[in-house]
Amino acid sequence: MLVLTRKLGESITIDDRIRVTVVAIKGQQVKLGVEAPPETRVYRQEVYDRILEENRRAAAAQPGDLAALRAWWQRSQR
Amino acid sequence: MPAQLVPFARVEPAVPAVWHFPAGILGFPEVKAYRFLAAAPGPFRWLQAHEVPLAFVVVDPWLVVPDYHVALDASALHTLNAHAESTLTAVAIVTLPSQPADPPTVNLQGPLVLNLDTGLAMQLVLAHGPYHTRHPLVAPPVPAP
Repeated sequence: MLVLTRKLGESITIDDRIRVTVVAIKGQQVKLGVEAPPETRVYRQEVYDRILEENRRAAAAQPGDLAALRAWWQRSQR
Repeated sequence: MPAQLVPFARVEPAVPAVWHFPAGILGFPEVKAYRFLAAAPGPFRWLQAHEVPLAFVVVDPWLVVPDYHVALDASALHTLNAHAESTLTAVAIVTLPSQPADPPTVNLQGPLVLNLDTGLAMQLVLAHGPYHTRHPLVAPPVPAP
């Protein structure tokens, strides 16, 4: 991993198109500002990881599952 | 103001069969094209990848949470090529439990947003708000008459 030391207000540039700036530092929290083209997707890592994991679990669905879900749904509506 | 999302169940007859996900679905970035299989009885649908054996069960999130709300940022609008008059909807991915006794869950934090005008789609990642990846799949209570 590339490790860079930055002060408050300083930035790094990635790929000529993405700029990350240290906007605020308070105790253990660092606030980062990201300037990037609109097609760039920026995620909080823990949220990204959670959705990735859920997608992988969901991708294991089998052909018979639709009927099972339908039965579950009908029971839950009563 | 960006376009409001319309519940999937309301627009389903007008939903194109084929969808292009320019960034794929998280975890499957190389798979860009999906299609909805023909409507089955009940609210669940298959969203099936073209050319690779990959499919997700999806549901209209508004059936689970009637006041479901997501905000689209500029990046999402760009990806979907959406503007104020665009007709947008969303589906949520359903996960079956690993233990049969547990309820199925629905991912309300990572909805698949669809632009009916362009056939472009993306998985949204909601950092803020009340929604989780494992919302119990239970119909909302029917209001007392």
